[in-house]
Amino acid sequence: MKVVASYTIKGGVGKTSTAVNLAHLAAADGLRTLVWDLDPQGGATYLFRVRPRVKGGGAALVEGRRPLADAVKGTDFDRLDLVPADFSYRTLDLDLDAAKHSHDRLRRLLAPLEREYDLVVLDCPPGVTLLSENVVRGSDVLLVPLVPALLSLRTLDQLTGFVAGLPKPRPRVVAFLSMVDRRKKAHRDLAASLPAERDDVVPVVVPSLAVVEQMAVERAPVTVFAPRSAASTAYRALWDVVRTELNLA
Amino acid sequence: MAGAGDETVFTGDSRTVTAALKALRASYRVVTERPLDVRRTWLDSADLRLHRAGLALAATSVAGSPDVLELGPVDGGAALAVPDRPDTDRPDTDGRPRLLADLPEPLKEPLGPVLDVRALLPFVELTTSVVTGALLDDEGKTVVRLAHERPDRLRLIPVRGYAKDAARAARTVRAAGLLPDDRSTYRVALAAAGLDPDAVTEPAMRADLPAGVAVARVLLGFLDELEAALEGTIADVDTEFLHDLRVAVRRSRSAVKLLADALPPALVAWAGPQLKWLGDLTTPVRDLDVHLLGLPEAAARLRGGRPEDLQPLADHLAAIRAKERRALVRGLRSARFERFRVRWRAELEALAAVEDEDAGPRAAEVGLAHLARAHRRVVRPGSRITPESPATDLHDLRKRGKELRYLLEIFSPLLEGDGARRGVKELKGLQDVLGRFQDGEVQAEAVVAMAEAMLAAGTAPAVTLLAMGEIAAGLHDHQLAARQEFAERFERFARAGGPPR
Repeated sequence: MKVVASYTIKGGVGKTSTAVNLAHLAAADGLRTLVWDLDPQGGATYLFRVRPRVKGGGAALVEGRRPLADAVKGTDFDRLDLVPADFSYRTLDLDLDAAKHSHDRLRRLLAPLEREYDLVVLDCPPGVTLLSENVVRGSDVLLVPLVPALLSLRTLDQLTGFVAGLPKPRPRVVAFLSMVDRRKKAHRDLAASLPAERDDVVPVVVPSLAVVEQMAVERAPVTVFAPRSAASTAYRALWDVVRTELNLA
Repeated sequence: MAGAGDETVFTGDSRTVTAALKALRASYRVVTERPLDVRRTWLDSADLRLHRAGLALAATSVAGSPDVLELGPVDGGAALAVPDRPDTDRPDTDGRPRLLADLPEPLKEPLGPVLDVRALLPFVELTTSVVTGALLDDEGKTVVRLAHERPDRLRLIPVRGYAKDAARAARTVRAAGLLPDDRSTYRVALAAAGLDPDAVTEPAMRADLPAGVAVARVLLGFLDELEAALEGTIADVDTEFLHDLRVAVRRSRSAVKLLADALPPALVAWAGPQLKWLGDLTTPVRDLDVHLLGLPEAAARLRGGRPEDLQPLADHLAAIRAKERRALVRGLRSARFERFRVRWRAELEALAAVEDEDAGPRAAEVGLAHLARAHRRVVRPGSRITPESPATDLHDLRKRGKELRYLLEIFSPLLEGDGARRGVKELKGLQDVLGRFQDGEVQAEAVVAMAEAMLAAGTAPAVTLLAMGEIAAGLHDHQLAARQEFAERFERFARAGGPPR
């Protein structure tokens, strides 16, 4: 079972869209896939039309009072399941802090699902917290959407510095440009130059398009309702990169 | 992905299914797709090895989707579904896999020991018009999937995490009049085709029948087996069709010879040579099959040589087999064979239809007398065999053992109880030893003859001849080992006692 996390320190950069679309593409490729929506805002949960509720809340999961498997909900798509968000996740840091093995608790919670899933996709809230450390330590790949702004590079550096400071094994950081507006020269320039200049930025550009916003209306991955759109093509290219990084056939 | 719970199938007439769907609409938004024809073809060997092992393998095709091979228990349950890549080079199988090597990798392990060298053939087929759909909650989320297998089956498929909805939907359709149907789709297909592979057939042999009638019925059964194997042999579907055909011929030949007193002398005088001709016609290809089937194991056992050293031998065997098969097929398609088949069946049917109550002795009387005599003909010469006895004594004993074995098979419905079963078991053990002894010798001689032929034709490199030498030596060791086992095996057989008197 491989774990990929859609994660950045900064919010509003397309993490949830990335997690949801990649998970759908992975499942469509035949992988048994689980999305865990760790963000109390529950964006991924909403997009999959699941009620954002986990019996006993995040504390019950973290403390082991309730196995993670019990919280799993089937989505409308074959081979794709979801652990929904719960508003109680806003205190997940505190719950983790109170638990044993607080720094790699998340990985331990996922371990019993090893035989059930080929891939777990974590949709994470922004920030640098104890939950972030759990996410980083529990993942094989950190998928980092970057909006095309110089400030984003600073955030990426902060993130890579944070990862480098953690004990091994560390995940591979895979950053890509997200929400790129082709009409803006600065966006076009950064989209062209960044992958050439940095090893941790791959040459995949997810455009800023209305069809991505449309996900909230359709309540489905863009790869489902607009499979031929430029956004779907970009997510497919990103999935190809991730699949290769994870050595998934 | 587990934990969604088992799907439930309900059945009723089409009106009740419509009523059930209406009832579901009262609680859920029900969405349905357009109907799709789902064609399932279950594949099995000619002798239904998969079915007997409790397995069902379905090649499933739905328009617009890739074909899938599904392997699961005959009575339903978790199935292993593997995408199939139809091989368009095999139009005779509709592109489906035939031999173990053709199967996708994930199916080879579970099916290998079951299927062995046999070919997969279409066994039963079912095309169903299926309307798939879903029950949605107020978020528009699928909470139960459904499949209406038109006209009269409704399948409810739970979604993980929505067990309450699945239970509620099941209660609703039951209340509407549908009944649970625990038959698997495979069982439904069998029933629709009127097939019952588990049906127990009445034995041809019955103690109270006149012996002539009983023997004719048994021979008709062998003729059915022969005919069932005929097309597969001609088409070379797999090696075991020819094997089955030969077994049917050998059994018929032995029955005619051993039970001649229960049959009209003129029929015996005609059928004996015909059956011998048929047996001889089939021998060369079967002998070559035995060598070819044994090659991978022989190659794996080589100590000095490498497996690839035997490739010229495999090529040599395949070339001779192709030639011999042409002769075999000519024989099986000949007017002579057709005449034999038609006359043999007509004569046997006439004999089997005799209703004269006074038509000679009963089967039980004749059978037990023959069994006792055949048993004596194994025990007496067998007890005289010593380590110094010539090989021909063991070969002769094997023939007598085969005769006893065939009689035991023919008259098995007359034999009941543990004693008879033990006797058959020990005879099998003895025949196995004698078979290994004789086959070791015959096959070693054949390997030497092949080496000479290949050398003369210039097709055998030195490494191949050396590897063949290893095989011949191995066969010789095999023969010696069998000879050493003989005394103990024979003792066990003799101790088990003869058939009841």
